Amino acid sequence: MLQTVTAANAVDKIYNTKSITLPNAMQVVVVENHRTPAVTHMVWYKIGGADEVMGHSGLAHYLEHLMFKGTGLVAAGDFSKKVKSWGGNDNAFTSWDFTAYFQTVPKDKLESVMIMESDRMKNLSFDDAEALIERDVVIQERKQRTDSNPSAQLGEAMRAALFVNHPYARPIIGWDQELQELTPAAARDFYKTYYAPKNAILLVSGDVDAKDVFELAARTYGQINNDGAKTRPDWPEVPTIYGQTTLTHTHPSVKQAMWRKLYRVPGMAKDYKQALAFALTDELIGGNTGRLYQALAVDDPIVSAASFSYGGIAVDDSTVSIGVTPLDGVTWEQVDKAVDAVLQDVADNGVTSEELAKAVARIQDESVYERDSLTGPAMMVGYQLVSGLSLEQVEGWARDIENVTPEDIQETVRTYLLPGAAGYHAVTAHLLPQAE
Amino acid sequence: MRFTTIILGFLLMTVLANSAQAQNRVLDIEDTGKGFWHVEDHTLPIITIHFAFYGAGAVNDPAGKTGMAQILSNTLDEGAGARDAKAFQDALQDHAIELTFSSGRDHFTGKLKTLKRHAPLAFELLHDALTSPRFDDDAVTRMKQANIMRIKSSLSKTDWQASRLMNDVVFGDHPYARNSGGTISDIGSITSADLESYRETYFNKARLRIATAGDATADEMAPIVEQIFGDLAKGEGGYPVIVPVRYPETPLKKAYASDSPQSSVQMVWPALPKNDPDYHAYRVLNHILGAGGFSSFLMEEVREKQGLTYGIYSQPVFMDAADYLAVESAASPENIQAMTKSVQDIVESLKTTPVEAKRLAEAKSYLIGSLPLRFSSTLSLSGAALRMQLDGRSITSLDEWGDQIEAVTANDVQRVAQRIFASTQPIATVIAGAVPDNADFTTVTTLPGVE
Repeated sequence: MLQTVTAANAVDKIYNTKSITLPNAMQVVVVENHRTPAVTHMVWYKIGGADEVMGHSGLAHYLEHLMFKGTGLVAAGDFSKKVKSWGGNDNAFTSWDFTAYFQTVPKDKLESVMIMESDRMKNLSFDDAEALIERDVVIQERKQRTDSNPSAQLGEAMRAALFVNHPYARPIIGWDQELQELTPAAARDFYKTYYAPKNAILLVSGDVDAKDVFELAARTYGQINNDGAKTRPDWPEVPTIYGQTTLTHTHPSVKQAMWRKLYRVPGMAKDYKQALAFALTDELIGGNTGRLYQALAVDDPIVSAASFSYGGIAVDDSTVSIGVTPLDGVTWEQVDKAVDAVLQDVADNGVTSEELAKAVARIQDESVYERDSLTGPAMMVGYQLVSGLSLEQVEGWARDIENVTPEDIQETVRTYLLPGAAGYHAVTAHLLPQAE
Repeated sequence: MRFTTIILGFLLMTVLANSAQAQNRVLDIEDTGKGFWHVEDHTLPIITIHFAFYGAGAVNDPAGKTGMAQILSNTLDEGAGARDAKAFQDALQDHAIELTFSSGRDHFTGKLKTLKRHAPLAFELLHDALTSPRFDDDAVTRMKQANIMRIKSSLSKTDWQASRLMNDVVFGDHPYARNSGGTISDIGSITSADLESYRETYFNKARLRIATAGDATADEMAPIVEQIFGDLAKGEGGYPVIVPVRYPETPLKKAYASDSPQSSVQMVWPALPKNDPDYHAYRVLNHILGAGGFSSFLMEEVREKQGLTYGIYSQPVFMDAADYLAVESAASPENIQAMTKSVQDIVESLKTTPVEAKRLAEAKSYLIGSLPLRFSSTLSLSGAALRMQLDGRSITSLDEWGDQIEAVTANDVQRVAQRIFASTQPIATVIAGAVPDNADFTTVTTLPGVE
């Protein structure tokens, strides 16, 4: 039989990263994992949709597409073809806070992808005609992701209402009419202004020796200077918004009503300690064994699905998102009341230290799974670093959650999630079928 | 300057290096001879188990009770043995044990992931779920409701609409035409007794296939496998094989109109099974046609050159009673005609013109080089080992993959294209969403397999 190891949960370092910063200020982070002879290589830029100027929504994401359109040394479309021909895969993604490019390749191709990725940090050179075709592609992407999905349409409207006056209010893909007018020249400007080593973080995870990666990084990314590149502009704050916002979206293809609520709350970079309390609040209230699902779907069923999740990882404010699927005949008011009752109960009566200890143990156990993949660590470490967390926090948060107390959970719910509370900023939304 | 030198040096290197590692095995699978395959891997203190009941999938859903296998997969972990739903879910959750059941069309499968320190509990929970699930009324009702609402929510998605329509068009009166996720009225009629009867009929050792992986030796896993699965009934071999699908005799084009600025498009050609002598050439063809992302003909032509869509892909589908090649995309209605024409032009050219040497070499290099990259998590190890058993492959078959792909020639690819695209027009084309004007599609007003 198996030897059951009964060591404590304590996770000293989740990823065991090794890191240096190049003289041009680019951070390089390595997670060694020798299971498969392969590596994931990622470059994260601390520039995203929230850094666009007004009227240019969608520009950061459009540029992400254009990064595959050639550099003069690598022809348009060839970047991905080369990676594929080595047996690898590559892609990129854009968020409000960042833009990231990654490749997973056999380990002997690491140097090649580092040469190509560092090349396009400096030498992007695309053709206007191709860039305009690519704009058509992005317009189709918006139609596919948002315009043909009523739930995504509602999500877009909820953020716009929640983050008033802040760039997080804009959709990453861009508002339709602005997207249609984006120009290759604007994308070029955005690239020249921001794509530079001081705005970038390199993540490599896989079958490598950190020392070798540092050396390769110095020979490739280390040779690029920052020229006049800028760091991101300051973002405006969300002002006090008076009144309660409830959005209603009816759509002919909706056959199932949905209730959603989005709260604006502190993110992990701005308030690490508060974010840990939110992470545990999520663990206790969310999930199918959490208080929300148990109260609304099991004990006295008025919904068939209920979710509660804290986003957390963000440069600026983050969100708590609650979603439920009400059973037929249940009113919006019933859902409002039932959700608030679950939160009120935590605010009034708190949680037990036993519940909390179990949640901590669960998160710590799950943190072992974080390393059980090739790409996962590069994704998670990069995501957290580019969002403004320190490497120490990235490695240590699963240990640091031990410091969260039952009172912290109670205070979190009281301060941010109850209507009328000091830190309560929320938008409620109803998605419903069109009346016959 | 230094930088430029590196780049030039790089461009002179061959990009077609073959990265297969001939000496080492791709995956160290052991056939334990005790009813399971094992992949020992001590990277992390994790153990995973994949298993299947062969042929026990949704194809067996009785008429009028579609969704039965689906509901069964949702209720096995909603209470078993002495634990009710809450106690069972708590036990999983509190120990970071991940247990999932799922019902494919052909097979009923499950997977377990646990830390080694919680393994004994994880094995007990899996054993109980398979042998003594409770099917308590409240839990069954809850899962039925959740599935009905899942169906209603899916109704607003054009790709889901297209899939429902395609099922009906391509499978006709074959059991595969039924919605494996169930219909709203059928799900409503499923009872706890139905679920127990389904479990008793199909969960047995004759149908069972098991693969394990992770931080344990095969000798350590043997008693565990016996503990988990040993109590299942013996079952009978020679279970019935479903009849092959008979495809439509002439190409069909059907449309379902719904409120969306785009249409989801699906095209299907009957294709080759996994045991066809041309199987490897088929994989190469598929990569070149539409599975190779930006290096595929479909993405190059339809997205990169014409900007008609965000994505277009091809995918071979292998099932016990049907093997076909599907192409899927989504685009504005005014782009649909140009898109379907481009797709047919591409398959036509694959039939008439041998694929150029560079493209062929790059496709082969991808298919060979990408194989080891798939095995980067503990679950991926047991998952692959189970898949190979279901496909009737040997434990060393992955090691032969490199040579088999390498041997594929341009003539082979062309021959396969001629076999699959004998009719350039797909046997079935469906669109759902915004139906273009003047489209020569037959319009369907009620989605099949929903209500």
